[in-house]
Amino acid sequence: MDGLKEAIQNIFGSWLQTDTSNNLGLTTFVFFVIFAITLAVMIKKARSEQPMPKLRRVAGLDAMDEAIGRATEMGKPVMYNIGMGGFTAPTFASLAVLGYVAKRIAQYDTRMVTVMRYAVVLPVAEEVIKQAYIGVGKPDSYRPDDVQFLSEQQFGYATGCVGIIQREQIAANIIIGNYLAESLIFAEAGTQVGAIQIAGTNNNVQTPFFIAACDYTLLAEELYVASAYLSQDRVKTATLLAQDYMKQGLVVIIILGVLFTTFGSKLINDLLTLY
Amino acid sequence: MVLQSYIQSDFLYTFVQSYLARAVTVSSAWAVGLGAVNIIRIHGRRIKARREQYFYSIVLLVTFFWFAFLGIFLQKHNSDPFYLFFYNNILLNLSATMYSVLAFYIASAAYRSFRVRSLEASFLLSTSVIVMLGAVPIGQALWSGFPGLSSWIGTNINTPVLRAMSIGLTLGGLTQSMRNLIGIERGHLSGGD
Repeated sequence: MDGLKEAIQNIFGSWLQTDTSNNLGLTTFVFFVIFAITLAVMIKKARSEQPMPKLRRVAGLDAMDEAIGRATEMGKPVMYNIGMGGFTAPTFASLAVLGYVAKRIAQYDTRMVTVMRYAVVLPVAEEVIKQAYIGVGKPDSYRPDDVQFLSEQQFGYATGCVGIIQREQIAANIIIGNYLAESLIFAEAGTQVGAIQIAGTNNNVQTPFFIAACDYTLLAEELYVASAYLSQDRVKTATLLAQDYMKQGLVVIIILGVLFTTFGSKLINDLLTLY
Repeated sequence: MVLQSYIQSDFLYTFVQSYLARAVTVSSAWAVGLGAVNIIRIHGRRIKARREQYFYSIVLLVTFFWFAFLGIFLQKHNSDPFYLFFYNNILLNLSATMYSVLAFYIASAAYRSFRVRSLEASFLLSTSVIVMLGAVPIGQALWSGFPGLSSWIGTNINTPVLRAMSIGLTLGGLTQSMRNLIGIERGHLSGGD
């Protein structure tokens, strides 16, 4: 293993990042390259009209239409919470779901109040919703006042959300994005007004709160599946396929790591921490 | 920015730190301005139309402008003692109050979750009873094995599940980011699919 390390140092030594504060490691770089190649292969497969596997049903995403339908029947608004993140992966996932929900909202002439913590997300959310209304031919129905930036203070934002939930007596509460300690505040406030609730977050610590308080919860990576699932787009489905292959690869590495370690070899561990 | 994490290059480091990082800071500052306009517009209209509970909008706007005034015009801006007086004695206390409300929300959510309505709920209830008894002195008084059993559940059941979820989330986040980078995900750009 030392020989291999020396060889890598000799070949790539001047290029490899040695600043430990920034170094993500050779292992992650190799993983990143393999993932990019797998992704490219899967996208090519999707574009060449080869058969793609069907996505399994995700109850939380199937329930979007149910939640919007309920709000429409009750004549009460839907609340869409984009979350506490700036432009990070969960926020982008949430914006993708927002596009779908906004389109349905526009079709059914229901009202939707959209809130977010960071002002940087506001113009993007406004544009997504406005385009949804234009897409269904109802640009005049778009209400700019229903897209609200509340506060960048964590609990100021939480208080603002609870206020809207209570004042508007919402019928559906969609909470998708990155959340911290305030997750349960949103979910319980929604429960108190009897709203149907769908939640999903990238924060593992907050997921149990959503499971306890919401009707439907997107578990772990289901949050990132939403965009492909709701649009049924072949290329997006292909990216999920690449993701699943990588996951299978990781499971194999974990099993090999367990076996090697059990039998006294540190080969897998040394390879993963090589550089 | 990705390359800078892997490749040692002064040019990349300078480019990322002095150009991209500043661009992010500047665009975020502009976005805060947009957020302020959004707040003023929504609550201004509410006050103008005398909508229900418009008094709270007046309180919000007065507080908003007061803090902005203090932050901009005081000599030490947001570290000025006069600014900190309002910040520490109003905002922090309000935030702490909201945070402490969580305790009641946890209790009500736990009550609903722990009602035995299905096999899964009964597993949840029995596991949580063991974990709770392991964390309080009365549990150890009842049976000395509770702390050990509670710890075993945390290490051997909870941790592997959380790790599995973390792996899925990391891969999912990476896939989402790649979709954005290569332009497959365009929902946030135009509202399309």
